[in-house]
Amino acid sequence: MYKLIIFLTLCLCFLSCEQDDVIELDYPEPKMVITSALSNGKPAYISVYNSLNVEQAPVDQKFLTDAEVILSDNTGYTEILRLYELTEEEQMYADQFTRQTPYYFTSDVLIEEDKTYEIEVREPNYETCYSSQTVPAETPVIKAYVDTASYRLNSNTLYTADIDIYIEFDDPPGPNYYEIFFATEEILVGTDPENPLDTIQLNIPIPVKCDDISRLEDYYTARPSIILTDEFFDGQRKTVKFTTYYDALQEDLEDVMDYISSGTYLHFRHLSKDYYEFGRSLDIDLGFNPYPYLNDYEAENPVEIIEDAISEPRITANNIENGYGVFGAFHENKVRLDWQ
Amino acid sequence: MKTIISLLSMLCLIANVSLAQAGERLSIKPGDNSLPELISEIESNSDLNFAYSLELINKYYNSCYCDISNLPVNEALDQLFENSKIGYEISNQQITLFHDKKKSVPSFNLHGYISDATTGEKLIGANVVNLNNTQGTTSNEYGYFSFSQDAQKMKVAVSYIGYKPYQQEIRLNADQQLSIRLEPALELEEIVVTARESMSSDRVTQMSLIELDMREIKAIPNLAGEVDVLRAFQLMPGVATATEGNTGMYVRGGGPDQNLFLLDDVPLYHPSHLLGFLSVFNEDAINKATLIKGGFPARYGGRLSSIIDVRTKDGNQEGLKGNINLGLISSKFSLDGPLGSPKTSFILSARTTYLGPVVNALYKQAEDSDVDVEGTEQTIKNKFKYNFFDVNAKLTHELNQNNKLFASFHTGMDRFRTGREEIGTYNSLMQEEYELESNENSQLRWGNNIASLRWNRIYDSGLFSKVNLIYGRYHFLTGASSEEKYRSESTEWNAGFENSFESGIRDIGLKIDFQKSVRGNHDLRFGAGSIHHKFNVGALDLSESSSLNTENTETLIDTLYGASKIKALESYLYVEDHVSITELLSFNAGLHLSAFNVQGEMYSSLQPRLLARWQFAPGMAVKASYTHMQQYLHLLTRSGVGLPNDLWVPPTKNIKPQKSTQLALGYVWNASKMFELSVETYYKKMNNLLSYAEGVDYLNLDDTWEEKVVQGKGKSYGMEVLLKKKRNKFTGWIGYTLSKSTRQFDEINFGRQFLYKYDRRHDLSLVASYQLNDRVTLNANWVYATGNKVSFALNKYNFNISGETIAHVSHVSERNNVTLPATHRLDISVNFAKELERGKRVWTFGLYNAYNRSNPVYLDLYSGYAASYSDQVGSVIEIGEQPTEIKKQGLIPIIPSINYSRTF
Repeated sequence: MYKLIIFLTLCLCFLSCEQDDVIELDYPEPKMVITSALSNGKPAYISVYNSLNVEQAPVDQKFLTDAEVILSDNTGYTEILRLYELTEEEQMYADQFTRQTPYYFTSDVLIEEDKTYEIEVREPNYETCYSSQTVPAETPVIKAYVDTASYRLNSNTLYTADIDIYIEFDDPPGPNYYEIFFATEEILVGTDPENPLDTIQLNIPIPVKCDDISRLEDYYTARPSIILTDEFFDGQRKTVKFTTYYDALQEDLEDVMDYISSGTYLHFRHLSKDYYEFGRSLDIDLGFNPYPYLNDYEAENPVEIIEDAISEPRITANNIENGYGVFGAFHENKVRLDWQ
Repeated sequence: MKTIISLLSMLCLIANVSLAQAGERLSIKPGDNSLPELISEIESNSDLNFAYSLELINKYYNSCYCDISNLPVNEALDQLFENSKIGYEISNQQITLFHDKKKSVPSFNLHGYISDATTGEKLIGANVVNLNNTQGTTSNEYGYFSFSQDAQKMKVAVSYIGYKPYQQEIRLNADQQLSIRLEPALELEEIVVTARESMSSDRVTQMSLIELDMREIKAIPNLAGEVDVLRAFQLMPGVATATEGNTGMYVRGGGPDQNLFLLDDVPLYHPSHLLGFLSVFNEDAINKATLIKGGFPARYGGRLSSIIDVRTKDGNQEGLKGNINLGLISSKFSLDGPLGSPKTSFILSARTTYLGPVVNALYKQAEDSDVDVEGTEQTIKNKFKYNFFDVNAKLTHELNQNNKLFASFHTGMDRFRTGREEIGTYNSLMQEEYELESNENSQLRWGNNIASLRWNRIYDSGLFSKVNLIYGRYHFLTGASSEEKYRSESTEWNAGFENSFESGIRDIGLKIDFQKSVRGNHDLRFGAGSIHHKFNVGALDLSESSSLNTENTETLIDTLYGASKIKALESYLYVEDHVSITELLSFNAGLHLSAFNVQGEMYSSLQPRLLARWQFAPGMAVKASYTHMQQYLHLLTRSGVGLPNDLWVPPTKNIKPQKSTQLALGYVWNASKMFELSVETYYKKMNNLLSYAEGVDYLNLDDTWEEKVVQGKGKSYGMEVLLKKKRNKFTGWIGYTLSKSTRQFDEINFGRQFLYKYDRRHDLSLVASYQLNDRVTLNANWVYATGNKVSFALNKYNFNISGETIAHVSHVSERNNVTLPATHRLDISVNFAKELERGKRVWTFGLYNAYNRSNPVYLDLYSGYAASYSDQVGSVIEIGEQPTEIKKQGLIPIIPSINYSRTF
């Protein structure tokens, strides 16, 4: 029996009743976060921040104003970009509407299609980052139009207006990537209409849904824009149909139609592969917190379960060597949609 | 002269050797004497001299049954060495013996059944050995053995775990049938005699094999005291668990769908109860369970990573026996015995749980409430129902010595229901009084039904055949419904919503297998089979209705999504030959040809299998295997914890079948009868693995399952070490696995290779059992394993492009980029057994997770907040402080258990 007692005593020694559920993870060293999308006919707009580990507060992410950003292209152009700081007024509008960062690196030189640009970002406290990108050529839009809307009953507000939008274009041979979004433009005029800085143009994205693009892309339509590949229509003329809808009571429907038909633009972008992959890899909750710079906390996401119960994990794309983010490029066509 | 011969014959009572020196004639009656004794007698009674080596005789001499009477020397020697590959040369009076490689000797087949002498139960894996040359075989899954030997007088030894060794002398001069009944050892001897006396693992060609006897399985401490076959296998190297407590198996880096669970030859899908915490295999009905991780013989096919072959008992032929087992989670009973005559026997076992009522009582106590405030009366009732059951039944009928019929049946089901009922009367100044009644229910149900009808036959030549008609059905259903009734003086409004999702597989098949031992130490197996599958790959039924004032009833939705049934025919042929080139060198070579016909598409595969063993020193052997496998089935499982609602899907026109190639190299050392060490390394490549596409939304109803999946590759390699102590009061094993398993899909992780979710760099199991005395046994096991991999955003940043797009990015750098903290756990139990006048009683007390380790199943990120923040108009709001924390979420704390078992 004494053997039994010794055995049980030994077992009881292990009874420690572990309580500590908080764990420490091995975080990688902070890196620079570089985000930019070069667009034809516009100057470069590059932001440089530090990354955070998931346990840090967003307020700890700072724009790295000491960074030196060197932009060059394949024709011999090289420039150290200047740091632009928003004015107080711009900052106010940025906070409310334009979503601009408080600083950005920019240049007076306009970006040109078909050119390959390289970026080098130096900062004393971080590893130097590199990336390169070619601005895609234009994919002309043949036509874009709004079809008639239809109305159907629903179980909530009783009526839903379905609005169909079509865009037709010739896809060039080879892999191509596109982004399409649908936005209304409104001009806010400040106290001084003559002052350009007091006039702000807003693009308000309208959520759209697309059923006929590809078997994969449809999952990303929770974002305000749609990104797609030409996997299923490579080199062909393609007409893409989008649907947007609005739940309303009957008396509201006319207002909806006015809203849709006035100052509405279709933005059709031919994306670089890196930019497409980055956009594709973003969390589907993109846009849930449209003004993150204003908040010092994350009340929007009190508990985040890592193993998402209803979707597969998504890996974030990154084409910044030694850093995070994206150095992307696109060629944009903007088409006004007129509809009565 | 005749007188002299007669006199010598009298003198040589044991080995009668009579000679006629002058006429060079011999008379020999070998009897039981050895050849050296016979030669000695000949030499002492003649002028003849023999030159030979003892090694030659030991190796090549087979006893002669001849009765040589007065024959010339050369004719007498011809008869004496008739059954031996021994030649001779006569020079003057000198006879030189040598190994005659070209000489052929007749060979005969010895076959029959090995069974328990007290119950008639067939013994699977018993060792049959010819002690003359230590060649032997093991009984197959029906207790049948067959092996060919040169004609000889041989001593056959039979051994089996827990049974008294058996020996019988046989004159093998024709094909013979031999039925052997082994006597069980006494209880204490069970522990002592746990090793195979003759056929140690260094003498068996099969590698990557784990055979567990029910006695070993029952000695392992278990969750809530529930004995579980699969949990016992999880303690072996090369077998990983999904999450703690779960019976899901990941063998050598393979997926959960790559294991073929066979219950009496019928495939089982998702063989678990209680969301995976218990397997459906009721140990009371099990005769033997075998796991093969690699080096698959050609008779097996259809899965890439493992075969778990579970054989049920035939039932006691000698008398009615039973067992009752009462545990904390479930209770079970079994009853077996003869039915009318000993030629017909049955076994019936059943198990059910009472977890549901217990949890329901706790749940109701915690959640039910009555609210009675001014103007409001509200009653809330919560319901929780859970139960599972399984039933195994088998009927065995022996038509005659050569023909047996078996009918087996298994059914098992899990049902899980929750509900919430709310009835309230609401009255306020703002609106008229109304009643609101709502009822919400959800359910989850899954289970297997299988049946098989089998005919075993032994032909006169020793050919064993098995014809098996099988039926299997796996069914899964989940659903939810809600109903709301609103009643006021002016309005009556009803609304209802209901959904259900169901999937499953139905199999009907015919299998025919043959086994025959042929001359030259060949054990030949061949067979064919065909299974017709009907897949229901998931149908979602949605309906929604409402009515206003009972007159305006409208059904708003009634839609069936994704309802598709896919029919397929899977067929196979195989041939397999186990050949012992010498006692030290053996091979098992085979071919498995399979075909799968689905949606007009035909997939086929020729799968070579090769196993080799070379015993290079006493007790030491190296083994190697090469296997190619093809699997016509995929399990679409989520990256999170697997559930029964993971979809079983077949290959289709667009989805290809899975393939694998595995190479394994092993070393076995039987250090003594006490210890056995095995070390195996393996390398496995897998193709056409199926996965949900990155970021896919499981609830997206617009796409079929084929549109949500991608196919890719996998690779795993590792080393497994198993050290077993097999004898005496202290028995157990140490199992260790060092491994790596990766996956690569073009559409996942940007095409980069990533670690498999269940990649286990280290996996260690210590299992020990100590027989304190003939009544008390102490058992313990400790496990340690590297944690699972999860995809976790270690970094985050706000992201802004050209002032246009702003997002909060949680940066996940790689698929499965974070390894969860390691899992480790100690389980202990003590068994108190007592032999009763009729039967036996065993009390088992146990502690699962004895030191209450919180082993993580997943991580939660609790986002913190600062002491204050500024809102959009610049006001500072105080909200307190909470740091962001990552917490591991464990599942199973320390669980004591008590279990009572009574056999009668």
